[in-house]
Formats: sequence, C-alpha cells, structure tokens
Amino acid sequence: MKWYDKISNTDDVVISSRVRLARNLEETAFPQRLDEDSSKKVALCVKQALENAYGEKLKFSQMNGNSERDVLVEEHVISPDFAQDANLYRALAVDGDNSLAIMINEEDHIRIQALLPGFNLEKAYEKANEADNAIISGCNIAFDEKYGFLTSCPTNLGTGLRASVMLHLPALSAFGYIKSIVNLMNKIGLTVRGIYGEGSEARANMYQISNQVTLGISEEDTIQKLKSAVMQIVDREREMRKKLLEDTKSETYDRLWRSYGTLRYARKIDTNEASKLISNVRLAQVCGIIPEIKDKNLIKLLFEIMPSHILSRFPEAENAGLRDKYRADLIRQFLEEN
Amino acid sequence: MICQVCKKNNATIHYKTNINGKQTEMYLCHECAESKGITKKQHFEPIDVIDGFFGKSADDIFGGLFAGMMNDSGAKSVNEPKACPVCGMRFSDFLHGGKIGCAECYKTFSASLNSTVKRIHGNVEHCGKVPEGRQSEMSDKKKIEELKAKLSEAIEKQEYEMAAKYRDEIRELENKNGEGK
Repeated sequence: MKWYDKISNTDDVVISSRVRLARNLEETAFPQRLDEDSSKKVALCVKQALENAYGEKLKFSQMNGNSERDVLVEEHVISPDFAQDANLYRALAVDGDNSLAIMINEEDHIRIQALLPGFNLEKAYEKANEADNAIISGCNIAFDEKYGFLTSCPTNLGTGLRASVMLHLPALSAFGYIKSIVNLMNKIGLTVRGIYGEGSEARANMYQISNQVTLGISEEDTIQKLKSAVMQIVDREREMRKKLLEDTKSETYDRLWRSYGTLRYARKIDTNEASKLISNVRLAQVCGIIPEIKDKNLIKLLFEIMPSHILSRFPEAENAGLRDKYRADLIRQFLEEN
Repeated sequence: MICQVCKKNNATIHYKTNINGKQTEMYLCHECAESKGITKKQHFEPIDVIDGFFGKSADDIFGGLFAGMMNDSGAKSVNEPKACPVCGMRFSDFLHGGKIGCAECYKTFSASLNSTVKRIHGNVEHCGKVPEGRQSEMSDKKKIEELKAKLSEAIEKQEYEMAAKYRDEIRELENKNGEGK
C-alpha cells in the first residue's frame, strides 16, 4: 500500500498535503560537516527514540546503495538530495504506506515528513508532530528560545516547518493565470513550484504551494495561512473549469477525449506526453466527462509511469525507448481493467 | 525596553557576554554603552557583541569585576572566535556555502548571524512549539534574564552584597538547567 493509493476523485484540485519538520541534535555537527561515525550515532539515537514510541510500526533502511531510492523520490517520500550517495550514514524510517517518512542525515539530522492524500494539512501536521515528540523524548534536540529549532539552513529556523499542498491546476494553466498566482503567493510569503521541488518545472499541471517563513509564526498560523490561500485558488480553479467546459465546450471535450484515446491505444509513450495526457484525462474524470473511468486513481498512474517506477517493475527496460513501450502497455492495461 | 543602567533612555544596544558558557546580557542606551566602552561613536545600529566562547570575557568593559564574579579572570576579547569550537566552521564557510555547521555556531557567530536571520525572516523571534522539557527551562531563562538585569544594576550601584546574592541565584538556576538536560 502506498500513500497515493488513497487519493480519491473527490480530491478534484488538492491532490495531497505534506508537512515537513527539520530538527537537529545538540552538540553534533550538522550533516554537511559530519563524519561517518558520528552520523551513525545520530541515526542510532533517532532510531531508538522512534522504536520506543512506534515499536515495529516503522521500517528502517539504509540509503547508500538502496535500490528503491529513486522510486521513493518519484513518490515524494524522500528528497532528491537524500537519494544521492554520501560520505555519511543516511537512514530512512517509514510507516506502512510511506505517509510518514523520517530522513536521518539529510540536510538536517532529522527531517520528518507526513504526506497525506487530499486537503489534510492539520492531520499531516499531527502525524509529523507525533514523530517529532517521539524523537524529542529520546534525543537532545537543538533549540533556542529566540531562533526556535536550530537548522542547517537559517531559512528553516523557528518551527522548522514546511507545509505544502499539491494542486492540479489544468484550467488556471489553460487560461494563463499561473504566473499571476505565483506573484500573488510570493507577496504573501508563499512559494509556488512544480511538483518535483525547487527549480522543477510543472509536470501534468501539478503545482506545489508552500510557506516560506518559519520564524516568528506558529505552526498553527503557518498552516491556516496556507490553507486559506489554497482555498481561494481551489475556488478559482473550479470556476475556470466551469468556464472552460462552457465557453469552449466542443474544443475542450475534443481535447480531453483525444487525450484519453491516445492513452488507450498508444504503443509507445514518453513520460512527458503521458503526464500531460493523464492530466487532461483526470480533468475529464473529475468533471464527469468520461464515465467509464470514474473510479480509476489516475494520480496513482501518474506516479507509476515515472522512469524509475517502470524500471523497478521491468528491470530489463534499461533504455528509454523500451521504457516508452512498457509505459504504453502499463497505461492501456490500467485503463482497460475493471 | 529601557536602559538597564540609567533607567531613562530606550535601550538600543543588546550586549551579550559568554564566559565559560555562562551567558550574560545587558540592554543599554547608546550613552551608557559608550560610557562603558561597549560602543564607539561610529555605531549607529543596534549591535550584538559576543565574545570568545571559551574563557574570553568582557574584562576590559567591566574592569574585571564582572569577570571576577563569574570566576573568570583571564578573559579579554570581545570579538567572535574564528572557528566554532564544536564543528570548526568559520563564518566565511557559512558565507560561502549558506549552511550552518552545528547548533553551537548560532551562539558562536551570534552577532553576525543575527543580521542574516533578520534579513531572511524579519525582526522576529520564535513563536510556536517548544520541545517538551524545555518549557520550564524557558521560564527559568526569563528569570535568569531578570536576575542578570538586577545583577548589573547592583554592580552599577556598587551594591556588591546584593550582586553576590543575585549571582548565586543565577548560578543555582543555571545549574538546575544544566543537570536537567
């Protein structure tokens, strides 16, 4: 079971909610200046604290040479940086569906992430906070009255909290509103990015919106502020979807059905094209345009067509051309299944 | 905040010392800071001065009295150390890479980092979660700060008996927190 298996089609705009907490141990160099022995000690301390609280519920694994790590990056369970080989010991703790992930020795000693389907920021925070309390009860966490939780990068000082939501914005994109949303969000201290983090381009019209400021604002206020901004974007996206389907009905229907047709019958397809078409078909699905796929989890499909996912399922698909074939097969099978 | 020395003017200088790990803080107005030699006329902005982490003190400012009370006699410089005693980071490393070396660096380079943090987040302090077990430490910290203010006032008025009393109370609270960790 993966965290995205539970994404529902009622999550029409907000696909997922994510909360990340950055923590460090006292009297130990941060990962950038940490040697291997000390990094193992950090991992041991965090592991013991987590095991005391969670028992067997968390699964621990080492990151160096981990064959699953690229898949985990594509699923947003770990950061791309964390998946790189490093001269220090990196470990990951996850729960059953990877919705809770604790990265040990990433940029900070401890990065706790809770990732939930739909618009669930409070629940995500609760889940991350629980893990945080478990770690605090077993490890000496670096904290300062004035700066809050001390972090490797001063931009995370204070709560160390980054809250973000993943939004599907096909209609706002179609009308060219993304740029003005980005500007508007920046003005109120929020950042808009593509789904694979800093510098990544928007794929499948998916965007991430997150808070920038972490010092001088409480966890609750950070989440509320993000939530209310996101709610306004959701309203606008729904409005624009309506407009798209009313004002340019035949063009829009044609485009969406053609996307579905390509996915249904293509024999080779690359990640970009597939993502774009799945984005269209998801729009058609939540607007009730293509009834035969109304119960399909197309977001799950969006993850499963990524290169590392294809490679992990079909290890022989080492070159991109072969992957394109397996991808097309996988999509057809996914859409045909009842 | 009012200057702790003259009790009249607004405090514009936040003065911190760290002697063998014991931190003291003062909030002073420009005049009082100048008369103590903490600032020279060219300082127009509030500054944060922190001295060496191990054994360097504010000897020249308090004429040895303060340092003596803290059982530290050989302390001198008011400059930031070149490298962090815990992780060895130099401030130039931070300017270069943008990452802090360890939690201690935030104390070691407090003066320089303070302005960096202000630029990033604005002139604010943490409000939000305080880790379990640190809440009492937080309120003790506030008590310690008050006592330190009283201590410097007593020193200022040359009431050494009172100063000794405050000093002992500060030590007691600080030891309590040290053991609690």
